[in-house]
Amino acid sequence: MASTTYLSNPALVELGGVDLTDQCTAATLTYEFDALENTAFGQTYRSNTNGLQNNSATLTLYMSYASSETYATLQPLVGTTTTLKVKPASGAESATNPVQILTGCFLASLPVANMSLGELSTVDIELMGGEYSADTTP
Amino acid sequence: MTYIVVSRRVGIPGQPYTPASEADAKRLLTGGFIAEAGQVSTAKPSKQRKVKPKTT
Repeated sequence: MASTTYLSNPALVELGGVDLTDQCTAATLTYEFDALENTAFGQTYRSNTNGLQNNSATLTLYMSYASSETYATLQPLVGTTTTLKVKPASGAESATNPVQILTGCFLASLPVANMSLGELSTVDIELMGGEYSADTTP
Repeated sequence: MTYIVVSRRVGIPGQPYTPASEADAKRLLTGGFIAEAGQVSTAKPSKQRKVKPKTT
């Protein structure tokens, strides 16, 4: 049994300066580098070194076309770069509560209508690129 | 240009808001998240003059 776990309940999911926490049901932010192969003769295994950061994030949000809600937040961001912040828990930023930040990530597309009979409309968006950082300073 | 917060999604409504850029300000204005500070009037509407009814 795991001694320490985290129950998904972020205190903040902010996109482009807009707090969308209460519209969000899933958030994934991946910190990644391109792996460049640097294997050479004489080695008996493949090896890699880091290239550029190749970060990404996905969010699932309840859609709302009301003023100051999901659509009003996302629609103007399509085709632009923005900043995503995800804070794991309430309270001050710290090493155990690091705000995960993706600065300059690109929103290429938005499903402007995703509707199914009898279901609440949700949208999945993907943010590409950007620079990753973790804020641990209160 | 100065702005104030309208939606709780970007801060405390009524508080001043400083956008990161003009593009951000335009986006947030369009979405109804913020307003230009000058647009909010605190002036009270003028009261109608009281006219005492004549008593005969």
